[in-house]
Amino acid sequence: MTDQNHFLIRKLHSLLGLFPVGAFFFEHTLTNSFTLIGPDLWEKWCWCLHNLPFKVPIEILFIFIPLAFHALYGLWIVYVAKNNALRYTYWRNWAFYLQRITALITIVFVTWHVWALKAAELFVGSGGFVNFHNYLTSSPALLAIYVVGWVAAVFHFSNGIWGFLASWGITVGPRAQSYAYVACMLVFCLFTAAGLAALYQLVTVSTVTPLYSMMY
Amino acid sequence: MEPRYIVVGGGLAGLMATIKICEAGGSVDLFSLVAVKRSHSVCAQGGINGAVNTKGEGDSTWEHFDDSVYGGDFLANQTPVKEMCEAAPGIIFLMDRMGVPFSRTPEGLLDFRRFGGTKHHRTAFSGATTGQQLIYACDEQVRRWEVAGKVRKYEGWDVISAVLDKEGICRGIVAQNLVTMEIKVFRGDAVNLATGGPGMIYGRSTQSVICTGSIAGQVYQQGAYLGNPEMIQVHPTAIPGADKLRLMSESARGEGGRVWTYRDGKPWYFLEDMFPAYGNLVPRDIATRAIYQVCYDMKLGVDGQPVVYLDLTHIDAATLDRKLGGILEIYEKFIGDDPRKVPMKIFPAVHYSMGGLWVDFDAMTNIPGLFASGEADYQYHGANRLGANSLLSAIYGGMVSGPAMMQYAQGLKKSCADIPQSVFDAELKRQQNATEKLYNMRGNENPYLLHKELGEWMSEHCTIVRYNKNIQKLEEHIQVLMERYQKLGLPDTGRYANQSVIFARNLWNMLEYGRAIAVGALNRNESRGSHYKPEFPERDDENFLKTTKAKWTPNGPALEWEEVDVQYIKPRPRRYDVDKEASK
Amino acid sequence: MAEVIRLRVKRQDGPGAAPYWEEFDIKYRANLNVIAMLQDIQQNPVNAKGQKTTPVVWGCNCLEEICGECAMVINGTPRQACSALVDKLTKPITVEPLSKFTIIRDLYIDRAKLFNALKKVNAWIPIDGTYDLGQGPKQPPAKADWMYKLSQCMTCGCCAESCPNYSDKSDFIGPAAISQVRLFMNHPTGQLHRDELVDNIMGNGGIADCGKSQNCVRVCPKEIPLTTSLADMNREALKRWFSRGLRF
Repeated sequence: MTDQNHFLIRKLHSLLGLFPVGAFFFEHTLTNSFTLIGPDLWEKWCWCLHNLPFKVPIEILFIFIPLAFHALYGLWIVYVAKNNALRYTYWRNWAFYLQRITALITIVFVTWHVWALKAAELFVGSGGFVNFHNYLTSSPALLAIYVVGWVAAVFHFSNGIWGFLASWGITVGPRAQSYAYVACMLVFCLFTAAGLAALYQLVTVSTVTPLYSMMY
Repeated sequence: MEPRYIVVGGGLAGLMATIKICEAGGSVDLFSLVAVKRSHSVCAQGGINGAVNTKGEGDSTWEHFDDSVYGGDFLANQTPVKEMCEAAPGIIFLMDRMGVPFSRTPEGLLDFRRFGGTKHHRTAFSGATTGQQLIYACDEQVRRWEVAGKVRKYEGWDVISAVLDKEGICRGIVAQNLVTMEIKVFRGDAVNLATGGPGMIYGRSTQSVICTGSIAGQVYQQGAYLGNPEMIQVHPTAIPGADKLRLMSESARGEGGRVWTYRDGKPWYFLEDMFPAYGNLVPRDIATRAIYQVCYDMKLGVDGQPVVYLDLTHIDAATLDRKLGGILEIYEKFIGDDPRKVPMKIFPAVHYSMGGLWVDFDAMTNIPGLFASGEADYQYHGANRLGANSLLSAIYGGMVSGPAMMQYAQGLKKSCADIPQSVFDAELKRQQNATEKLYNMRGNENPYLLHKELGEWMSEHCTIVRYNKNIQKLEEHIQVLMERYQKLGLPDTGRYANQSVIFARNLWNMLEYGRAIAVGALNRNESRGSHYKPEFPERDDENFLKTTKAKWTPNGPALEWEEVDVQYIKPRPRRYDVDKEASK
Repeated sequence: MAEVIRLRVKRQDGPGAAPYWEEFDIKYRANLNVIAMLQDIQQNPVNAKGQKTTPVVWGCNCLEEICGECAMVINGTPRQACSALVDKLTKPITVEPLSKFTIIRDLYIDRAKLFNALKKVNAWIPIDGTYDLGQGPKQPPAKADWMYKLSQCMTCGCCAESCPNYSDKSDFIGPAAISQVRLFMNHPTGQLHRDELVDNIMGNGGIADCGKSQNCVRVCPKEIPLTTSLADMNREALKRWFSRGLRF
């Protein structure tokens, strides 16, 4: 076994899942959560992000390339596994299986999500809260896809943190690993709640109150 | 031309012989029925003896030698035993260097514990599975030589016979692949049979399934002598099982276990009753005989079965876990009861064969070029083996036989390569024909049932208490079984991975070997070590301080007697009711 | 307890042959285990339909759960057949061969892959020789105890059988061999070679291929802390990678 690149690639895959892909995911969640404070604030924050200096290189370098690598090499990892969660029904084995299932769901969802929104942006013009509200409420199926996609991505992210800690030798013993798992599941709950709350906000609120009037 | 070395058997003896040969520049063809790592050596629990004297007890290799000879009731040749005991500390250090995780003292040195038949802390141990740990270390070294290209492993081969040339010199072996069933001949200048004991002759014993003694039984039919075949050690405490009798280590009694059964509806602690001085801590053979007597002569086995209780329930669970944890788990695992709460059901079981292929002091049988080592030979334990001497003798046996094979092969005028092909073809043909005959047997005797019957007869008549009348009956019955063998019908006639054919062939060799055990026992009219005859309760040095040498003839075993080498320690009565010193 | 126990055996006449199920009725008796049931079939090879058949082919040796030979899948779980007590199994009892290895016949399998992995990772102490070189290195008693735990691996293949990443599709050498590397690199002599030992498991099929399903530690009959070994070797491999990467 002299193929030393193998180790590098595997570890890179694991690392990129957390930094920057995970970090971006965290930022994205935070951004979504601005809807909870006020649609207007969310719109302004989005405006800032859309007008970041060096936006395109940042997107390519820190989001697209890492995400694409993580996703494509991940597909290979998914392919190699011979899942046996029905035979060995231990929770960790289910988590192993779900990590791969959610990987596939997330890849499909994210690709579609990005394509749909970027296309909309290109052809229809900027999103905006109301547009997005109209978009999400246009079809219950669409909303359902968002919910599923979100939960899948969050699971993949939080379970992935647990995996990262083990495969980087940070949590070694069984007890350290189970405490880490509790923490990761808290992350799962938190992020799921944050994302679903944002969706709820987007679906239920149809008008934008100007930020100025909220402040006073 | 480089000499070719064949080692048969991948237990401790075979692996150590292999390592020794490779280290000295030779290459080895290593044959084994199973992956060598799975050999029977893994079953040894207690430890390995070596007089290192780390506990300030004045132990010495001489004391170890004296204990071994005395424990073996003076039947062992003293020179090889002496050399083994002298090599023992070095062997333990070597195994430590090889990575065996021996238990250690607070200072980080090897720890030693006490075992039966000695007053010294002389037994190095690795948890409750010392044999497993020792063989793993050897397995790893052999794998290293395998990677280096010096060892070619033939795992999953049954060695059928030795190839002897016209002068009666061993020139190779014939073996059969367990999967493809291909029978092949292999040339070798020196062949080492490190094939373990013959426990399967007794049906169920503490030995592994592959311990059939088959190849020893085969070369015996080809002219090799069996030495002291009648010397079979029975361990007093084993857990009866449907498929096997599993060892319950003697340390259970050592830590305060009490042996009892019901008499008149009340518990009877018969060892304490019969031997007030030593109670439950009487030596192995005494305990074994007492349990036998209680179950068979007095018919007092628990529930009418041949079992008695070994009781630890009066000791608190924490103490038990600390001192006997690993051993109690074995009982729990295989019986399903918790010995901390319920007394264990135990009965003696055939455990080890002191006898085996007769060898000279260089581990060679009377067939030139054919060596034997480990439990397969008869060399180191006389009439009774001390606990923790078996791992030692297995490793030491390999250390002697490996270099001896090289010395022998390098001194050969004609190598196996110079022997005409016809010699090999003839033996190959003979074995192919014999196997073909087995395939075509269409009688109604099932080989597995025949084996079961052999085991029951051997166990009943030739183990703990031996009466000539019964042994006679046994020997006759073995001949009946041999006749019935001719009416075998194999339950499987396939030509691929057919285990029935292999088993049937081994069964014949077991019958032959079993007969040698019976005849050896019949003719030794004395009691010595594990061999106990109520009709002749005393040791008789005048007539029987001799090695039984059984030679195969078509009419059954012919016995010869050989003087025992007693040049270092004068035989004295073996008594455990007083200190060893008092008996000198 | 019923008089007769139904045993379902997944049989296969040879590698590549189509597997089929055959059922047997075995007379119950105390302390019956799966091995004794298979032995009964040898002595009376008749299936539950009353038809004559061939004895089931399987491997076994010590029958004390220490040699590792009789591993098979019993009621869905890989384990040693000798320690599978009938009293503790749900009925009917099903037995299948380990599926991750070449099936020779019935329950008899070829596990050369496992031993080849041990060769790949150099699972041994590189001693200078078996000559009398004096005492071995001193070792802390507590460390000797945990090394003993790792050293009990009998290469039975249960961990590999349960591992979703151990298959024809991947080169993963499996948890057992990696745990052995941890054992050897912690021995005082192995420590002298820890870099090479770690290097051996950093390539394709090595430590990075563990997917952390953690089935291995659940099914290991010897209760070896395999997942701890895997995480620990992950750490060692990373340390090694950084130290190598920053010193080029």
